[in-house]
This record gives sequence, structure tokens and C-alpha cells, in this order.
Amino acid sequence: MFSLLSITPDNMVWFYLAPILVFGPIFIAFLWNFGLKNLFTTVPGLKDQQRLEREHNDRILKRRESKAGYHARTDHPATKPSVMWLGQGVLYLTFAGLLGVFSAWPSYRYTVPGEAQIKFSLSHPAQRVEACQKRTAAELAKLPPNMRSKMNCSRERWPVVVELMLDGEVVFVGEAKAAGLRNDGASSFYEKFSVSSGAHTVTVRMNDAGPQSPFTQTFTQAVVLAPAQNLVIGFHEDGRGFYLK
Amino acid sequence: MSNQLRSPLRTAFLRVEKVLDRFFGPEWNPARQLGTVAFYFFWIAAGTGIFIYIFFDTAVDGAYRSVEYMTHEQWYLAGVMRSLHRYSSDGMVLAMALHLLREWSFDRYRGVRWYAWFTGVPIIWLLYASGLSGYWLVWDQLAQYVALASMEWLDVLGIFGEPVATNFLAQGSLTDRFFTLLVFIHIFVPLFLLFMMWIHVIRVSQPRINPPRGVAIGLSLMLVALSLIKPAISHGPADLGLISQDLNLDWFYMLFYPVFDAWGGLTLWALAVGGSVVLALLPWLPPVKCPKAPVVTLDHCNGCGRCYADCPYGAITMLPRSDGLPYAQEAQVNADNCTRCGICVGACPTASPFRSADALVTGIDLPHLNIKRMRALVDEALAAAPGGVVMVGCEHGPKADELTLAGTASLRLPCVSMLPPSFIDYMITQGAGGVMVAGCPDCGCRFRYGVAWMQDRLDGRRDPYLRKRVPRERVRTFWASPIEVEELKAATQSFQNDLSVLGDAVKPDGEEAQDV
Repeated sequence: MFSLLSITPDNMVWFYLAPILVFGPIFIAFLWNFGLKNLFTTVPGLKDQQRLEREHNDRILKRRESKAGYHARTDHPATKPSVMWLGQGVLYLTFAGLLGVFSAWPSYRYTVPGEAQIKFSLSHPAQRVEACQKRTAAELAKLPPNMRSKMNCSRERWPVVVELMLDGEVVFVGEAKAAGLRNDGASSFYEKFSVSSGAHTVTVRMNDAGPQSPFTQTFTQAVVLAPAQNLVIGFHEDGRGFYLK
Repeated sequence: MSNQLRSPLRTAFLRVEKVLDRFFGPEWNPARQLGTVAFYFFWIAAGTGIFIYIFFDTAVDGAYRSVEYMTHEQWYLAGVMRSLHRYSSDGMVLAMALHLLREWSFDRYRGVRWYAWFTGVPIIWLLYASGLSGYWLVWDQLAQYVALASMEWLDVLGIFGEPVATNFLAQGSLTDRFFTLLVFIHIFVPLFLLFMMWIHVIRVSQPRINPPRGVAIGLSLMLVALSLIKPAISHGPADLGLISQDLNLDWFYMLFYPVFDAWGGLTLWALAVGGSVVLALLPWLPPVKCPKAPVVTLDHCNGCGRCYADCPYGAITMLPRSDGLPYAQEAQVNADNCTRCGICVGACPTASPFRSADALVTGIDLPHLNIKRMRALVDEALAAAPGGVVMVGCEHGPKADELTLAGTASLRLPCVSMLPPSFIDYMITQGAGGVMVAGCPDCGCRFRYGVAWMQDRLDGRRDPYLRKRVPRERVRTFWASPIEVEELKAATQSFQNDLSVLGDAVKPDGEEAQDV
């Protein structure tokens, strides 16, 4: 569907916002005229209404004794009390059965037996698109006193490109833009893959320095995965690079 | 088209209700009390939740241990409370789903009822958020699966700078603070749910929130028995280093997680949001066509407030008098809340047929079926079956006018309670052998209180009363669903037989009635 509408990560936000912006006001106006306005309208004479209701109920109570007595009602044929109790029991039993059974049955198998899972999680700010430059004394003097930062840094960061290989075969290639309106935050990945248990070689490569740059981080490690194991591939921001957990 | 879709389900509900009426009676029939049943389950879940909270440890390591303690060590009290908490929450989902289907199939969601329907949609979301956040607290393998899948589903939206699912990456990712936050969520989301449930019923007058005592006792016993026979238990403790594999999902709450696994988060969002939007817009797909709302004629309104007291939808407001007449108040109709049932007309003491046709004006009247027209219909019926039975039916009970019984004639009103009791007096006085009032089933009135008010008026429990001079043996009521036409026929024939025994106790010219 996305390819048909030419929706890309760049204009994805409009995919969500456009219908809200276009149809939202129409929808609200529609609801308003159909009675939403009543929510915001105070009822006049509420106390009078309540008093009236009290008086009316009192009147009914007073007359109930004197007027009650003759019933014109046609009742349905009476059911034997024993049958009534039995029927009630059957209904409550059915209700309880529904609750008891479907609160834990049938069971659901999330993964195939013998499979393990690799989770790749990364949140990393890439390098800046323009490198920081040291300001000269003249440049600093031109700035207001509260803005005299020695370094002049652009905010935008490169997207991060990641490649994940398992046993030499590429299983994931992805590019994540830097977060924030000015693309100055961290780029994030969260991906999971089902793999067979046993011995594997995991290789991760990352480029955070722009399209012209080669991979800036490469990591390879042999692992033995147990069935149902959840292996996490993460990244230390303190310079230690990728890790497995 | 939509009626064709609703009709089979409506018939199914009516048949089930008819069977259950035999065992429970209309008042205790849970099928007629689904909204109150859902409310009751909420209260049970809230009460048991407070008890469980006393023993719950809000720590990563302590949460599972404390729940296990309740389940196994103190099974006789805290364990039962936990099971009650679980099953009442499940019961609320089931009752809510049935309530929604029933109201839809009975076409009780369009017109002025849009408000209750529309505000019911966020209740579904809040109920699921309440239940699922509770499952997290156990912190077993099921909680781990639900927590991860929920977070991954939220991450599909891309509204968080960093995927929130990364909080559940590996052992040690979670802190005790997180469980404090979870408890906070699991308390405040249900509170907000309760607030929305209040909003849901705020526009109906005298809303029924609590089930009848018999239903409450039955449900309580059922839940306690279920909790003892099949106590709620946990999976193994959560371990983020392992994948949760065989899971006993609570299908009442977790129906959508396999959909998420199979089709992905975007599809599930499309289904959830799209489904909710369609559900919310149903009252206008298509909108119901309503005749004009009742009109108050101040010259004939003495501000007695009976129409205000009887209106089941709070569509009438009593305001200070504006025309200078020596009465304290006057009625005003809010058309946005009015279902055009005509119950207010039946409640008006000035709606009397014992006047000349020119003077037939009431304090409050339906423009498309005013009492002048109503008396004309009654006169036509009297002429069609002189000395016979006049059957007064409604549009939602068994169709009295579709019966082809000799010696009967009928008229159909939006609700039988639109008929002022003085009209029954009029019919007998004008020579009707008897009057059969046939409307919706007890506790199943299309307009909530139409049947109850009518029965109370006839029995002398509610203004305006049927006058004492009307011989009661010539008046019968028959409350049944639209599928009970044969039963109505049998009841009418039985009534005719009884009237034939009475013979000429009431002469066609109404002498006897006038003599009383």
C-alpha cells in the first residue's frame, strides 16, 4: 500500500496527519451538531427539576397504598420453581464455562520449537553532517554574550546505516534517520529475527558518517544459541562498540 | 440493508431471552441486564483488586513471588480474590460484547441514542488497557509476551524517539520503578474507565447501573464457584533472556496478539483504529429518520411535571413559567434527547378524549400523532369491532394489528405508554367489550420504562391513573417480544372467552360504565 501511495519515511508523518487535518474538523462539526454541544450546555432550572422529582416521587409513594390492589396484568404461564432453579443453574454454568475455558485455552505457541531469537537494538547519534569549527575571537565578539560558544556546530546528523549478517548471509540492512525535527537526535533500530538454535556467526556493520564513508564499526562473533534463547545485539556508546547479551 | 443484517441476530436474542424469561422471570433475566452485569463485574474487579494490592509487591523480583504467594500459600482468600479479579474482568469483556451486539441488533444506537453508543467506543479501549496492564503486573512469561508485543505495537507508530520496546531487552533492563508506574497505570486507567462509564449513561434518566439482587447473587456465586474449581494461575516467571513459547492466552483480552504476530503492527493499528472509527460512526450509517419532537402548548400545560418525571431519556426540562399563567413551571422539550416515544403524552393529565374534537389539545403532544388523531384511530377501531376487543399495540412488541381475529380491532402507537389511561376509559364507555394493551416484554421495553409506567398507571401506582369506574376485568395487558405473536393471539382469544362469560355486563352503549 505504501509503495502505491509513494509513502516514504520522509513523508510518513503526513500519512497520519493529513486525514486528521482534513477530516478532523468536519468530524467534530458533525458531532457537535448531532448533540456534542449538549455536553457543554448547563441544564437550566436543575434544582427545580430535582425538587419536582422529589415531590412527584413522594406523591406516588403516598398514593401507592391507597390505589394499589387490582392487577390487570396477564402473566405468562408459571414455570415450576424446581425447573426455574435448574434453568438458572444451567445458564450460570454455561457462563462460567465460557469464562473458565477461554481465559486460558486454547494455548498459543509463539515460536517454532527449536528456534531462537536475535534482537538487534541500537540507539546511536551519528556524526554531524558538518563538522564543528572553532570560532575565532572576532566571531565570538560579534555574538551576544550568552551565545559565545567556542565551537560552531551544525545540528543535523547523518542517518545510521546498519547491516546484519548471520553465517555470512545478510539478514538485515537498514537505514534510520536521526530523531527530531532537525534530525539532531539518535538513530534507533529495534529488529528481531527467528533463527535456528545451534552455532552461528554474527556480523554487524554500521556506518554513521554519511554515504561516502565506509563502515565505521564492524563486529563479528561466534555464538551458540540454545532453543528459545533471546540473544540481544546492542551497542555501547562509551566506545566499546557492539556487544552480545 | 443494515436492518437485514440486524434482524437474524435480533431474532436470536429474542429467542434466548424468551427461554431465559421462563427460568429467571423478566426482572432477573441476565440477558436483559447486560449493561448492569458489566457494571457489576467492574465493581467486583475493583473490590478484589484493592484486596490483592495489599499483598502485591511492586518490585521486579517481588511481583511474581507475591502473586505466587497469593495463589498457592493463601489460596483460600487472596487466591480466590485473584481468581475473582481475573474472571470478573473477563466477564466484563463478555458482557460488554453481548451488550454491544444486542443494542446494535435491536437498533438502539441511532437517533438520540448515538451518545451512549459513541461514548461506549472509548470504553472498549479503556477496558482493554485496564485488563492488559493488569496482566503485566504478574510478571510471568505471559506478562513478558504481552508487555513486549504491546510495546512493539506502540513502536509501529514511530511517535517515540527511541523504541519503547528496548526497555524489555534483557534481564536487568527493568527497575522496580517500572512496576510502581505499572501499578499507577493499572489503578488510574480503570478509574478513567469508570468515569467514561458514567459519561456513557449520563444522558438517560434513571439509568440502571446495578443488576437486580437475584442476578447479582447468581453472578457472585458463579464467580466464587469458578474461582474455587479453576483458580487463576500464572505461567513461569518472566525471563527476558528467553522467548515465551507456549502461552495460555486469555482470549477475552489477548485475541489481537496473534494477529499482531501474523500480520504486523500496522495492520493491527488499521484494524483497531479503523474498526473503532466505523463503530463510532455506525449511528449515522445511515442516520435514523425521526418525526418532529413533541410540542408543548402552554395554554394547556399546568406545569405538573408528570411528563418530566416519566420521560426515560431526560428530554424534558421544567423551567420557570414564561407566559404569566399562575403556575410555577412549564415543560420544555429538548429535541436532541427525545426518542419520539410519546410517553410524555400518555403522562399528561390534559390528554383526555372526553371532549369535543375541536377542543382536543393537550399540554404536550406529538405533531405527527396528536391526541386528536389518536382519538380518530380509537373511533375507527371501535367502529370496526363494535363490542369487541380493541387492541392497543406498539411498534416494537408483538404486532397486534397483524392479528386477524374476529371481533378485534387494533391501533398501533410508538409506545403503549403513549396511551393516556383516560383513553381506555373512553373505549369502554364507547362500547368496547374489552381493551388489550400489548407492548414490549417486561424489562425489555424499547423505550426503557414504557411498559412499567403503563402497568403502574393501570394498577394505580403512577399518575395519571386509570379511573376506578373502569371495570378491570375488561382490561388486559400482554407484554411480549415481537416473535410472540401466537402467544398474543392465544391471550386475546382467552380474553374474548372471558369477556363472553361476562356477557352483557357492559352494554355496547356503555350504560354500565357510566353508571359506576
